[in-house]
Amino acid sequence: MAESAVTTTEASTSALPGLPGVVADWSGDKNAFPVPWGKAMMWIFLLSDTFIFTCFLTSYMNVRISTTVPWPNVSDVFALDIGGRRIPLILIAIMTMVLITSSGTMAMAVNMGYRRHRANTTALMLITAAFGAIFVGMQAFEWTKLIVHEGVRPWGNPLGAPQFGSCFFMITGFHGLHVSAGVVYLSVVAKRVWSGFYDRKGSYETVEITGLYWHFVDLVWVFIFAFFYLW
Amino acid sequence: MHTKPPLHTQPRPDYFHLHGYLRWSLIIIFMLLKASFIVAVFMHMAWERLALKFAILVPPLCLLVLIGLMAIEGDYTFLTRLASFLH
Repeated sequence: MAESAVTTTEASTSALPGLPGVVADWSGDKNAFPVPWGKAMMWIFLLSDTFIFTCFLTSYMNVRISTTVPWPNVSDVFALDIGGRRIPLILIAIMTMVLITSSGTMAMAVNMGYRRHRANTTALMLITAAFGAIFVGMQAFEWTKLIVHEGVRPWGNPLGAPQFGSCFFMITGFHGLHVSAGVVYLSVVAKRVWSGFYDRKGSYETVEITGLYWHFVDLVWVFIFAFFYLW
Repeated sequence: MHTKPPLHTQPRPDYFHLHGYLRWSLIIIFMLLKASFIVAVFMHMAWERLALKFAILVPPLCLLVLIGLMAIEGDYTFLTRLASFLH
């Protein structure tokens, strides 16, 4: 790897003193993947985030395997009374539909972005953000129901194993935080799209990179939904 | 997937009444299908360079090792708890 530095001009191979030198060395124009750096970095960030969520889900699995008190019946805990009928898992079914639809609108936004259609891109990104906000709202409703009406706490609950609360709040809390951050991120980029920032910049790849983050949020939900709510 | 001794299998308000390995394998298979679809199509991975595909998709295989280890560990913890509570 050191040899490739020699191919640059003589002036740039001489070391800058101190920390600027370190930065200059590491930020030299060496490309592993000739993709836009933003896309590569977003993928690497999502990889690290995958590790974080896997740690949470794995520890939930570990705790659930070793529980000596029965785990709360999730079909029962997450059921809603609608029109007199008790429907299990209805809220998260709706939440899943909302999130997968938002992924659809995000993909459409990326498509519109590459066609340089400013108005459609902005609209679709804002619709995606709105779906995300709806998702967080529904999750907040679920949290309120569990905390206030069912008495679920991180340290115990009247429904079963005491670890249920901490697992639920930690996993869905982190995910909800990611969704909320995504809503903000989408709104900021949508505003920039509308102002013509990416037309001046020359590329709409930022819209695609934003899309990567948003699809990751949906991806994590797929796993949470399967392992926490269906198991 | 590891199945626990059924301490707590109560009748669940299911619609299709699938149980045991059939239930879990369906859940896992559909989960993996949806996840793969999202990564490959929505996140565009199917059309990316092979180097990027490897760089992103190979490290999560380490996570399978972690999951396996923690599943074994959970079993051990469970048996230890039973042993200590029952003296």
